[in-house]
Amino acid sequence: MIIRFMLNNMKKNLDADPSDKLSDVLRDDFGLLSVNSGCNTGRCGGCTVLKDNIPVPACMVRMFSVRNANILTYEYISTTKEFETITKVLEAMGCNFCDFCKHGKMMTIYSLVINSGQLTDKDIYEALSGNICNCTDFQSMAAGIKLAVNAIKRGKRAERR
Amino acid sequence: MQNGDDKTKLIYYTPDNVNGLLKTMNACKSYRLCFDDLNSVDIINKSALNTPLTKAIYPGYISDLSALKRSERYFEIGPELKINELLKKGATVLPPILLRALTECGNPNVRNILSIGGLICAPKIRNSVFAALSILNAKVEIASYTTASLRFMVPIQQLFKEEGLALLPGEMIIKIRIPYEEYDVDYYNEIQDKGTVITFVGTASTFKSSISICKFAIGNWGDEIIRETEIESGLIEQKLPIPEKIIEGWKEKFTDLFTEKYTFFSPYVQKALTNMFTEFLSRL
Repeated sequence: MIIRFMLNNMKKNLDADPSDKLSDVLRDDFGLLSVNSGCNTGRCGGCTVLKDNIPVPACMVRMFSVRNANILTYEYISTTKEFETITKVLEAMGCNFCDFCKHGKMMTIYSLVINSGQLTDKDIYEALSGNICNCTDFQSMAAGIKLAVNAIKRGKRAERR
Repeated sequence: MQNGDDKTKLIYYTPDNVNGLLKTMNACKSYRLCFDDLNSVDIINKSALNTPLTKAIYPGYISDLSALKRSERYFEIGPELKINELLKKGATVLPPILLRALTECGNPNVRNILSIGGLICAPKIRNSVFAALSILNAKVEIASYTTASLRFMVPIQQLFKEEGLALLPGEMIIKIRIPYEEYDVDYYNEIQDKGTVITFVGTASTFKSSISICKFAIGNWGDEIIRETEIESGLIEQKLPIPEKIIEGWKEKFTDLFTEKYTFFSPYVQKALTNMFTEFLSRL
């Protein structure tokens, strides 16, 4: 059946089986290889995408629930200004993610930074608990995320002036 | 309601309201209700899960099923309300043990997809929420298409029978109602054993330095919730603080349950549950 939805802010009409997994469709039909299917049970966080600006594991989302939704993947967010700021700050803090968790973690961090105000270590730990990988230590990641939130706020204020 | 579209022999419906859903369920007899959080939940019979999916109904677009309402006496939660949304909306109003049980389900990204109705209908996946709801005296409102205006409330403990989910074909949970009650003591703890999670939840209230309400439940890997009403009623009107000798007596009674009734628990789980029960009593 034809499913209409937004993918990376572009309208798409896809003839797909409604019971297909979103992660499979994104990889096979659209060639978005940043969506890594790891555990297929939503535990590893490798396939995290933003569905209406909320991070969800794409392996647990069926195509029938995607109708009229806006799906954002790593390919899109990596072109935004906010992403650039986040990456710079995280690199400065010494956070280098491995290839397995990088895309999923960055999707979660991006949504956390964009959608949240003041963040505590607890908030960050809780949000990142859905991305299982120990390649980077938590303390530097948390510090980097807090700095990124402040940097983006400062940037927005400067733009307004 | 959208018309079903046929591809690879799958007919798929997305009703926009509860009446539309009931009509669709009435019209197509061998349907399967599909949700985000589980591959599919079959309410007709369990064996049909092994047969290929031909008619699917997705109730996720019905706004009535994802609402949270609060009245003077109770909360009403729509079964399709996502758990993270429920945690945000109900952070200050929902009972603490329910909030704790909900936060223990999966990780935050998964909780953006999980719905409370899915957890109730498939407690084998996660039983902590079911245990918490059962001691909060929650009820579910069920709508049925068989008689158009039939909507009835069922205590959540009666939602399961020996053969599984007690819903009949054509019936659908449309609300979960939790009475608004404040308890003096809320206790929640869980342990993991052989890949399963076993939950101990308890609530109690006191009046004039004696116990007026005492309820506890053990959520096990399965459809059943273990409630021991004999011990619960025995503890009511117990003077506070409870002397250590009396706590020891109740502890022995609680331990006896594992040798008489619940022999399937491993010695490690038995010991942990007994400790949790003692801790719960000592908090009163």
